[in-house]
Amino acid sequence: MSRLVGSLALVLLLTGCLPPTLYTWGHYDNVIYIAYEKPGKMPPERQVELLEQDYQKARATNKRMCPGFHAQLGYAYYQLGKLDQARQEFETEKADFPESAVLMNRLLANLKKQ
Amino acid sequence: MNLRKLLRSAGCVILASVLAGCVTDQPYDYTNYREHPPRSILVLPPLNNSTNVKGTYSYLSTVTYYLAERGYYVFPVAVIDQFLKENGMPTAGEMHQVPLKKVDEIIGADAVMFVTLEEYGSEYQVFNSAIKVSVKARLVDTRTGILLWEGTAVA
Repeated sequence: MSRLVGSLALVLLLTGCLPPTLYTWGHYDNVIYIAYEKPGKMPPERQVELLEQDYQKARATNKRMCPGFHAQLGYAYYQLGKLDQARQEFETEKADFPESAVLMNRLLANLKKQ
Repeated sequence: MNLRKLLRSAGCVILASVLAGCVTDQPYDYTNYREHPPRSILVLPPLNNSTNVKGTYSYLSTVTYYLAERGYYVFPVAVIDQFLKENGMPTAGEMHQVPLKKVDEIIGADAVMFVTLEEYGSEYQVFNSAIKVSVKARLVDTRTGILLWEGTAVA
């Protein structure tokens, strides 16, 4: 067991598996965690509230939001029927991360059909 | 040590060794990885072969964090999960069968990470009970189907 702990610590040291960080994460990973573990505690309204707060704070510091952040926020807006906001978030995800373009374009096309 | 922390450490070990290639008994052969270095990774919901039902999805947020902070674009895991469910793949088992060609076409991911939880939860031994988690992961190139990396972590 102590060998395990030792090698874990070594891995952490060598790879910098500790914060901080390229991106602002805000509540993103927490939102996902709770949404799966205790769905009742993380309805879309709450997700929007938390993630919008994070985004406002991050804008003040000029740090990029993490991959998936705006997509998740857009999806929460979509679940609330706020399609314009959803569209805007998917566009932001695509602009921040061109790697997401194929998926975001598909989600945007689906929104158009609504 | 709670389960979430344990999962985090296992996630950390496995991802650290994916991406930095350190601290393994045998050096991993990164030839395939170097020939097809992915920029974006689709992390599928983990297959759960353990007896513990709860907690498998919590793994997704941990994996996302470590991969993204290493510079990969990680697709929004919860959105992807929902997207696949709406497209006829209601369970992780079905998602793990998704044709790679489809992933390329529909999602545009360079690589897919398949994670399997082998053990998760308490093991009762004679003198002590230890919480244990064992995770297997494979990273596969979407366009060629070539295995880029695989590994196991136990914590």
